[in-house]
Amino acid sequence: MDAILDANATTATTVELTAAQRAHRDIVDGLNLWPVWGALAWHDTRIRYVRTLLGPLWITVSMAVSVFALGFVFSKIFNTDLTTYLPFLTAGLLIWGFISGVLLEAAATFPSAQLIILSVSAPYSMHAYRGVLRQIIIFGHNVLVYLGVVLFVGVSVTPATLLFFPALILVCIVMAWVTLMVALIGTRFRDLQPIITTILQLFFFITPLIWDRDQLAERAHPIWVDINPFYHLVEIMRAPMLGKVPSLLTVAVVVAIAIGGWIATYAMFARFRRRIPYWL
Amino acid sequence: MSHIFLDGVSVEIPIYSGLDRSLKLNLFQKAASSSIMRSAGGTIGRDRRNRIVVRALDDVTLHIHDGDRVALLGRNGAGKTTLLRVMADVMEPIGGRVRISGRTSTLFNLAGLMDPELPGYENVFYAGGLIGIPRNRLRKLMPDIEAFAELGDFLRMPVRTYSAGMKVRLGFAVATCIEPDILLMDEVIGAGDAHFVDKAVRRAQQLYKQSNILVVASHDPELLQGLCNKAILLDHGKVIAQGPLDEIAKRYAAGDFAAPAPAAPQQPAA
Repeated sequence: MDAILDANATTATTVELTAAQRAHRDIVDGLNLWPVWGALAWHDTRIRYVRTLLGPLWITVSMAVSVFALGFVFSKIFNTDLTTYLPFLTAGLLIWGFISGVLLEAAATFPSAQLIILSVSAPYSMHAYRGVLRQIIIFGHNVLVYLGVVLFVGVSVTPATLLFFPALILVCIVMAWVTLMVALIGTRFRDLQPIITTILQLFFFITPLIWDRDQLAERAHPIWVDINPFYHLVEIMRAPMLGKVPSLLTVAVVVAIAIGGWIATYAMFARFRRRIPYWL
Repeated sequence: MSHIFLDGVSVEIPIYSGLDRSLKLNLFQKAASSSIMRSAGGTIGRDRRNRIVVRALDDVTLHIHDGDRVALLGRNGAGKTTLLRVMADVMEPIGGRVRISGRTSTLFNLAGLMDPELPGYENVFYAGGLIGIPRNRLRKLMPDIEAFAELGDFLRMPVRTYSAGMKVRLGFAVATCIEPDILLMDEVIGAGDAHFVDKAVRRAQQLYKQSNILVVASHDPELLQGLCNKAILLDHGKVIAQGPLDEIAKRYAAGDFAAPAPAAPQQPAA
């Protein structure tokens, strides 16, 4: 039942692996192939803007336009100071762009890599890592907007700012399992894509991005924010960007999502990995 | 030492669509009746969970050894591509065992793996990277790839400006530059012009003179004569016959797809 092709074996050895071992190998070998998916992710970004004048800088431009427009309008509506509101809004929208970008493209991960999957024996997980990295590259372009805002209004840089990097890594670990799981389910059930689009639209409004958690707390119980996983995923990165330390609750929730999610994904991947080429 | 052992391999591809309710399909047992046997394609039926499936490979047992250069023959939909996918470890069969040893390179759709917007040179790294050749290795092999593809300045042009045959030239040059132990090809060389096909055949012969395995699916008898020494005839996902190329090619040309009678088992590949 278990087919094994020892592509890198120098000796003629044949090993038979269980589904769990193959899933494990897929996830680990996929990581080790970082030069391939790294190049692919960069290639994806470049190809999207091929024959344009600004190239990937269009990402930066479109983010800058929406941030400044929303910033001016909502700082007036909420009657808040633009110098505190603009960094908050920009950081939130950047992180939301990253998280929602990963989720929006996750369901199509395997179908869009169909040619590769059906032509070469390579770890499937590599396509998930590629998807996450592609969004990190976009995020990197958008960070330029944030730096502009920092220079424009001034944001306090504290030791807590450095927490941004471990937070980014933690969120990436979460997004990697999310992509793998959504990709797996989305290949079999093509309805997942529109479902995710709908859910993300909803969460864009009920997650504190344009408004802050404290603004809601004045009028309603903040439990509606605290049980929202997207809030914690955004907040763990946003707080350091604003020079603050994220709350213990936020860190605990994100760590729990990372560990629990990977366990569930691992089990599911082991069970259904071999069906992927059949579902394409 | 490379080998490919398949033992009772079956592949059933479930079809997820509205078909289930609207089609009154024959089951496997009915598929054996004469009306079905005359049609091309795999066998349509239902699996244990009553899903509509196409049985693309049906109890395939094969042993391919060092030095075998095997032609896969069969009508459209006979299972040639699926069989190659199983050999490439791209598809795990739902039943049976697969044992493969040796470094495998696949040449299924390399033209399709290339990115149309990238120039030829960058596509060497892009497509080459996808089939698992490291960048520095490709950089070293570049003169060889350039010489073999004979595309000259077109290597600086985006691949979308290439003709189908030009893409095949580049794809073949990349896929064969690393001398794999096992090379699997699916109808690829055909789009090249006569001069290139000749060259490709010579390259493949050179690579596979000694100890390597070549499996190629094609409908071009001349190409196969140049490349292969053995053949496997497939129909409806079953191995109908295997043996020396001449003998099997004659059967294929005559359209003799009758399965061997159970009483007189087929002659195994020499």
